[in-house]
Amino acid sequence: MSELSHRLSISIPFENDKQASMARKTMAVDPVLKSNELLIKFNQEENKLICQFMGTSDRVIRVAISNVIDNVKTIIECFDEFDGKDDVQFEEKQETI
Amino acid sequence: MTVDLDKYAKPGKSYYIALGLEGSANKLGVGIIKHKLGQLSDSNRAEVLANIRDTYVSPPGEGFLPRDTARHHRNWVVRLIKKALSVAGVKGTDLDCICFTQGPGMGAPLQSVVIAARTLSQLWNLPLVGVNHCVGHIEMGREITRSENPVVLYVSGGNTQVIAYSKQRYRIFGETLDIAVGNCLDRFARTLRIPNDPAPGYNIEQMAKKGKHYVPLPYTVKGMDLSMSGILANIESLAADMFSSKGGKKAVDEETGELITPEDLCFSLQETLFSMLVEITERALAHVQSNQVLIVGGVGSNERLQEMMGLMVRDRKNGSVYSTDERFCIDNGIMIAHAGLLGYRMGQITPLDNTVCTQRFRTDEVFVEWRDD
Amino acid sequence: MTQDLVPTAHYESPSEPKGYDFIPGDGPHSTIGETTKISDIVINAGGQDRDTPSEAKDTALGQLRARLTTIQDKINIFLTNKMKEEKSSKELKDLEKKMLDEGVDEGSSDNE
Repeated sequence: MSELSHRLSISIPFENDKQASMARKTMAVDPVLKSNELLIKFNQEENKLICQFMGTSDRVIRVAISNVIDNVKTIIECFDEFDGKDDVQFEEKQETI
Repeated sequence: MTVDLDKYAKPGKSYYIALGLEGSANKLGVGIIKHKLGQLSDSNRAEVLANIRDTYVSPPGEGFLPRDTARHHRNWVVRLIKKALSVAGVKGTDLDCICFTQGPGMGAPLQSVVIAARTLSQLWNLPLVGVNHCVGHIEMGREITRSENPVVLYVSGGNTQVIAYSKQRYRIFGETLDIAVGNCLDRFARTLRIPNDPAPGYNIEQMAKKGKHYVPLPYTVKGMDLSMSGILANIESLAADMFSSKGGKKAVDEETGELITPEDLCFSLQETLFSMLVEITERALAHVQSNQVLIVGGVGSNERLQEMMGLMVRDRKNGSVYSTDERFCIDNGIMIAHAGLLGYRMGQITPLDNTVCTQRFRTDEVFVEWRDD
Repeated sequence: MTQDLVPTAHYESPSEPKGYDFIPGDGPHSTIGETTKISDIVINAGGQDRDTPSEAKDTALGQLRARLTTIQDKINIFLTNKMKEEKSSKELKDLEKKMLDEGVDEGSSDNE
């Protein structure tokens, strides 16, 4: 039962190696809950972030992977808006939020 | 004062600026604060450059689920950070640090915000400062009201604590043994299906103003602590009888025989809970021989609570109650920026690997290095 | 625009020994995913979703975010179906067991 026989890996390319490295560091901090049922590994290969999920069932992977992708999307949005723009003054139109 | 708050200032700069991110419950807040060098004082106040908040509001009768709350935060956080920077007129290079709520709070929402904090920290090469949410409330309350060494009543949807400062710690004198006072009010609002917009507690407060009859409820102060789950169960069963279609035993006022209304229940619930809060606060005042009370947290914006607390301290010599308006007492990013910056000015930074958020993070775990009184 | 950034994924399990590959495909892609909507509880209670993600910008990263949303949907739907299969095959087994056991019960019935 404790065999991690369900595996899913996702490869996410970024604009450069540095972004992939930052994404990996951001993701790798948080511990995996239920570590006897699920293992998650984050690796960087050049400009790619590789996330590997190894679990005892599809269910544990299903929950984990969607959360990881959600977080990576936040990271991507940060890169898109803020990378190289620390000396830019943001000026926003009156947006309704 | 021997604490030196200026050791970590950027060379040639006469001030610090910090970004603060809060998302421990259903509010996402981004704040930017400025401290000029030197001790904060009446003539050297912290300056709020931006304080933006967006609240995840669930439909009437529903609480906010962690999943939808986290989704709200992650889908808005980048836009809110951009907006705060534009409102403040501040660039990344102007910042000294990025402060984020590390706990206590709801796991998924906390995590969705720290992801943005970590990424931005690496992109702009800025140190992170993990902040205890409760200490954020306390420090912002002290700064806004300039109350020096008050007993703090911290009342919100997730926390109910009476706190007093001693030897570089905020020590908890009394607290709830079960649910928080804001949670008790919110859940009763759901029972009555009162809207959650702008806030369930606010809507209860408005209804309570129209209440005429006091319905006796359990009064459960236990030493310095209090319990509220029994009160909630009690009033929920009264409400259930009220809305029951089977007729049966609807509550009536003992003196006049008039039917008890939802407004009466809101009034009675507030009076009971707030009397308990006032009682334990009064005991803490006696303990530490203080006459100042600072009320922080979302329930702190309740005017009836402020009024009842005012009546209590009026009898004490030089007694005073301090509270802030909703910009600062409801969860916000500026308090995280402010408390985080105080820590940063003492050299407290949080290495990336230590930025895991935690649902439990006690107020008294924080080393209040920036105070030495 | 610079080179397209395209995420890919690969799945393997005892029920899928040869593996299964995911690609976002040709699109169109959007940051609004089928499987990342607000809870049904909120919608059923008359709530609205005012928290949809920001639109993808016309940048490599913006398009990556949209493609990642598509692949996230594909993975989520695939795994959810797998879970249903797993569950229904388990239910079948349970049913089988129940029937067999009941059969045994019937055979050994002490009902005179």
